[in-house]
Amino acid sequence: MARSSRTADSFTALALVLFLFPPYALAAGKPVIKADCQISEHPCTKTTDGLTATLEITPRPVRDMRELVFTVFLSQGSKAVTDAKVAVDLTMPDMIMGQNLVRMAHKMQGIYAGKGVIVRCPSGKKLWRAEVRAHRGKKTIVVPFLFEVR
Amino acid sequence: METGYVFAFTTGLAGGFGHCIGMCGPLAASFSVQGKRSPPSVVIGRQLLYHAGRVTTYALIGAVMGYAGSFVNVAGSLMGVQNSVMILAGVLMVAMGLGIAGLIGGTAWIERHNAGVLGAARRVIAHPSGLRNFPLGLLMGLLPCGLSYTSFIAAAGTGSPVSGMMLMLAFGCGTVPALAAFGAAAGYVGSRLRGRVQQAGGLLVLAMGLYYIVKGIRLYAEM
Repeated sequence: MARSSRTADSFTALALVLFLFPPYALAAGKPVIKADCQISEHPCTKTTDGLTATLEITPRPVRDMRELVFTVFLSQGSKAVTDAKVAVDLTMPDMIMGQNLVRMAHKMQGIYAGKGVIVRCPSGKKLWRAEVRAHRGKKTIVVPFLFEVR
Repeated sequence: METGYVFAFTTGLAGGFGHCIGMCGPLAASFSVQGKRSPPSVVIGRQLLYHAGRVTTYALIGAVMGYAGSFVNVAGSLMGVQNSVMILAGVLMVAMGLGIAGLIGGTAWIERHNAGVLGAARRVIAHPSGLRNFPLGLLMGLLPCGLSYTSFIAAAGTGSPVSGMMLMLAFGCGTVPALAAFGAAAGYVGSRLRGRVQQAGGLLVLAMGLYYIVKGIRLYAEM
């Protein structure tokens, strides 16, 4: 009887730990995601499905809780893409932060620009993902960039 | 705009389970775990009062954001206050954790040795009326939170105080089910705790309180 009571208490304690600290308990063993773009140093360029996107965020260094200008240059081969509807979707790989979409307007010759804010996560995490979403006709091409804010 | 409210509500609902439980769950849970055993209806009632206060604060900030039409300007002036609230929440949790773990022989120790902040915290925690949870929620609604920041950007984008308020009200209501259920569940678990297990729960709340304090100080340093 005493043994089953101890077992029940152990399960209760385990449940309490999981209830109180789910992300900390579950975070162990997760693969580490690293930045692939030094956005505070220079613009970054990537190609997905033949679409090349160059992302620049200013002012540099890129800090959270500041108004930022996002600039995207789109090209396919040697041609600038001027007919796309473009948005930059900002998310954190390790935390749900709600939808933060920067809508971009075409400025000239494949250059799109928009203003947005990267919010601060009080957990201290700084890694963000910016997905450049280019809609052309019925097709959407997503070019992801992973970077750290300061 | 109604679509925006529905989207804000669903953001809060999804974020409540995926984000808020991790970041603020321990705080909501600690309000349930501390104190004497209470029937489930009382525990749930206290949780709902706490969240009503929190959502009210969100709605008020949403109105200010909508009026100002700028997230950056308003958030900039709010940040100092929010970091202080994070430290205060940490202090509250440390006080509660010590009490739950039975390390300070009840709240009298706090009153004897800490006439200042901890004494004030004790008065809030030990107030006999469950209604204390509403002002507590009003205050804790000011906690810095990445998910609510994102919603504040949308509130600022509405360009109207009423729309900003409604949007944040929808978002805040969306976060309630996850946090209230989490807090109430912790209260149920808490009521079953005995001896060493209760001490462990108290130490966890204490550790989380220290975490909040360190984070709050670090956020100040980053300003």
